[in-house]
Amino acid sequence: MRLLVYVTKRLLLLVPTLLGVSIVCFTLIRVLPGNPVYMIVGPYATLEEIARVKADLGFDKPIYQQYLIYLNDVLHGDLGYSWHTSQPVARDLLQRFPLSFELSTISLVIALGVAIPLGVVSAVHRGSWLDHIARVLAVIGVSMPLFWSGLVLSYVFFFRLHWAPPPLGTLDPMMQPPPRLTGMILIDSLIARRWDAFQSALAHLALPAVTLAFSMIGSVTRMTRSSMAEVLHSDFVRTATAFGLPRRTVIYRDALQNALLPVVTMVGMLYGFALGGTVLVEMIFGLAGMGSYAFGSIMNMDYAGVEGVVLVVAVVFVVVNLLVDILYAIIDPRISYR
Amino acid sequence: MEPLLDIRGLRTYFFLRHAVVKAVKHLSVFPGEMVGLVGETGSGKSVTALSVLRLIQPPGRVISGEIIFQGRNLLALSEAEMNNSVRGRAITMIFQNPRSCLNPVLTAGTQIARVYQTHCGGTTRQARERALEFLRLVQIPDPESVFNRYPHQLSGGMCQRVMIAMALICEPALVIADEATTGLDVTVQDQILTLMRELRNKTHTAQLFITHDLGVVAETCDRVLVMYSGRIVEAGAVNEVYARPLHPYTSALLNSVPDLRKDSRPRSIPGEVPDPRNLPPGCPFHPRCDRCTDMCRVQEPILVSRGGSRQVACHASVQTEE
Amino acid sequence: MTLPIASGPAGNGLRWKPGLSRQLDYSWYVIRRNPVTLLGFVVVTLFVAVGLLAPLIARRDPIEVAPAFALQSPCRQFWFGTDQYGRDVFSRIVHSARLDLFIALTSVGLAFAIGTAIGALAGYYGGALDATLMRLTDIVLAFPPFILAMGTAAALGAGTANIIYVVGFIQAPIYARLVRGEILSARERPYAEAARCSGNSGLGVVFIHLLPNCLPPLLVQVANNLSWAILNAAGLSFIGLGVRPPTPEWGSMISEGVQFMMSGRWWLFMFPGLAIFVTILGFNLLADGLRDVFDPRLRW
Repeated sequence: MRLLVYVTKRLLLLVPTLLGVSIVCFTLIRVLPGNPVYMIVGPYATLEEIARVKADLGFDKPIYQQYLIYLNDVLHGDLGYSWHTSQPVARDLLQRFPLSFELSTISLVIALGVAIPLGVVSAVHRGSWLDHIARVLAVIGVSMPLFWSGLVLSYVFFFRLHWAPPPLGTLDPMMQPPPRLTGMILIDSLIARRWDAFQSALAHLALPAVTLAFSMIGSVTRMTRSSMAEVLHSDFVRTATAFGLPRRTVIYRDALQNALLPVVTMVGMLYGFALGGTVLVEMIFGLAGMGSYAFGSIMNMDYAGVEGVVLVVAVVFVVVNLLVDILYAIIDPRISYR
Repeated sequence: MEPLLDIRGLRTYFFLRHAVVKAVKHLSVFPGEMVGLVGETGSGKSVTALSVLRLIQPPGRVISGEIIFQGRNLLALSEAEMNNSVRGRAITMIFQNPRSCLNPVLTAGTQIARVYQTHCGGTTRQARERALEFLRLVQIPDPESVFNRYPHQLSGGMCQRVMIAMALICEPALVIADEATTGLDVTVQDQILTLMRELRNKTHTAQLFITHDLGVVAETCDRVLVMYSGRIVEAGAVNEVYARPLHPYTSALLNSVPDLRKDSRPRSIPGEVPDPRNLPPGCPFHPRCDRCTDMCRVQEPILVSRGGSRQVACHASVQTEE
Repeated sequence: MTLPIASGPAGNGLRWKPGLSRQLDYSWYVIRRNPVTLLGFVVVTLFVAVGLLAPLIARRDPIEVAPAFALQSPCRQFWFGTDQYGRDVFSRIVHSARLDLFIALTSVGLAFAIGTAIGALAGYYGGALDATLMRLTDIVLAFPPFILAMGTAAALGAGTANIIYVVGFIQAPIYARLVRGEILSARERPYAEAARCSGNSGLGVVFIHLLPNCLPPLLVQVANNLSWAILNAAGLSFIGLGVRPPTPEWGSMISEGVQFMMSGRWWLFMFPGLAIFVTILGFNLLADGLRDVFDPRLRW
């Protein structure tokens, strides 16, 4: 019951947050750039053409009206027109979003799957060689720029060792892609029972996912480690031990459950980081996701494309954070009570 | 009568960076009795209890001694044996700040039932029934509802009752209460102490009360042990010790308790508790003692029997007697 | 513990609080004691030194084109090799250190100034001002940082000044929140009241008396943010939104070097990347060690 109240409250908060996001995006797309009119008409335009384009874009109207038009457009799925792909931005993004989503989700899963056990073992066996290795790995992971580690991995595993496939997309270029259902290559190939496509996609996504995951492992390991270490010294862990509960239960159920709570809140932030990282990773590995679309838009000075990506990613980020908050409220009984 | 718990020559040392802090104990608890262990903060009281249950963490370590409980030396048992047969089962312990001693993400009832299931087996339903039974035993008004509540939803007094239920559910022979009522409201304190007394009468569980509060001991305990700087300086039946303290520290402590009937100020003990890393030679109390002799400065007094259950570690009291 | 001293109306100005110098002493002690933290400190010092002394260390002009020497692998003449225009990679890396140092300091300085001001005012005055300011920072924080940086940089255009504004802008909310929290607890303390009673204006109380005592946790944040600023600047340059060519920047050097990666010319992307990695590693090790000064519970 209280949970429902909490969820409702958070859902209501969603609206002003999203409005704020839209205002910022509007500012970025309309208010800041010098004069996008010239971008469209080119340097040889006549005065009439300039005036017409201005009216077209609505530049002659007051700012708040322009914002409302923008908001209205967005809510109807119109994010502008991308002149470097000759398609509406919204359609481009719809095409490309699933791959980025797939990539960030896989990376997050890998990162959590490696970092949490590492952090837990580190905390439980403080000072051991495993702890030191984990610490070194964590600080290296946090310090390595994402775009560089991707390149290094690509160079080592593709160029030198020839283990990884060439960084050109998600499938072997000779291979027929499976029918597009969700847009996520792994899921689509599974649904179509195309094991060859699945394998190829896995091979192609391995390095990008590892790159992205590696950049996140550091911070998760540290957080898990410090949280676990703190919990292991808490009163209730001492009490549980004093009551003769087996060490295994005390560590891996009581302590871990409590220690993971701060890590859960971190997941939201991590997802944002992963989404941002896709811009860099997709470009390096030639993947046709939202990130490389943003990159292409930047290269071609296509503002609509860039700001469209910003808006979509921000909305996804806000929603993910909301889900994480709700999840946290479910697992920590103290939250919804307050 | 054979003591239930007999601590002989227990030495627990703390290896700090520049010093070693030592705590030495001789202590007995007889079946069914309520014993109070009194001393100021830092006198080493909790260390005693934690040593019994072998909960001392590095940099502390039990160096030597014997802890004989029900015929076995607890210090010689393996960790597994401690967990299975002693902790939570034959000897249980309740702590200060009961709310922080409970797992915040589990319900109170689950935690109580879990202790029972770990040591005595049984199905979840059986454990739940037993937990409810004990919640009733500790006089919690609405056991079913409290069973499903989380620790942050319970008051301090309720949490302590939950802990007591947890401590009793496997019917231990000894319950150690480490500052169990400190931090609770005075009225709640009174309720808890009354409860403990009634439980002793009902179940004959021995109880070791560790506290700094002389009043708690006076109300609840049969016997008292006074600690100073990690050593027991006086022991005996409560009414005897309180009426006729033998050790200067004990009498000073009793004098320092303000009396509402008198008009005078409470008398504090001059000086300070010595730094455990840097104890004075001889008797640790001698710098603050008004009956200090030359021998006190040089030689540490040992605990000697003074008739019946009375013991005292003081050169001056021996000399007075003679 | 020495209590902070409140002084009269702004005439007295800022007094050097004994507690602060003690904390600096302890920080230096921590740095010396732990070899890892010391390593971090050495690396950071090296970075600053290289940045400041760049023209002296790398004599060759980083921008000058020399096609005769194009794409040479590392050798005695060119320690880190040359790029496709014959420019000395070592020299470019050294000069980029200078640029990144400048960007890091100015952007973090900007973020610090704006964020602290916002947080302090919000925390001290509370009420509607607090609510509004916090809403604004929340909105900025609702974006994944790099995405917002990318979007803002795309809107403003490439260039060093713009990167500084962008990176400063996205980091400001962090300081705002931190400072607000500190001020909220500090304003209830007796010394705050004493400062008010001594005749200081509201702003005087906040900036002259309360803020200096809230500094320690901010310093750890600054150490973290410096490395983050470098990372972001490099990332933005990598995607073409940062420093404009031919000015050398580690990130843009890497993106230029990518095209030659497949032909085996590894030095073009490897060395700039190593430079970023080592610098940030140094900052992180240092920040980790310093965190122990202010919050020992989090010790590794």
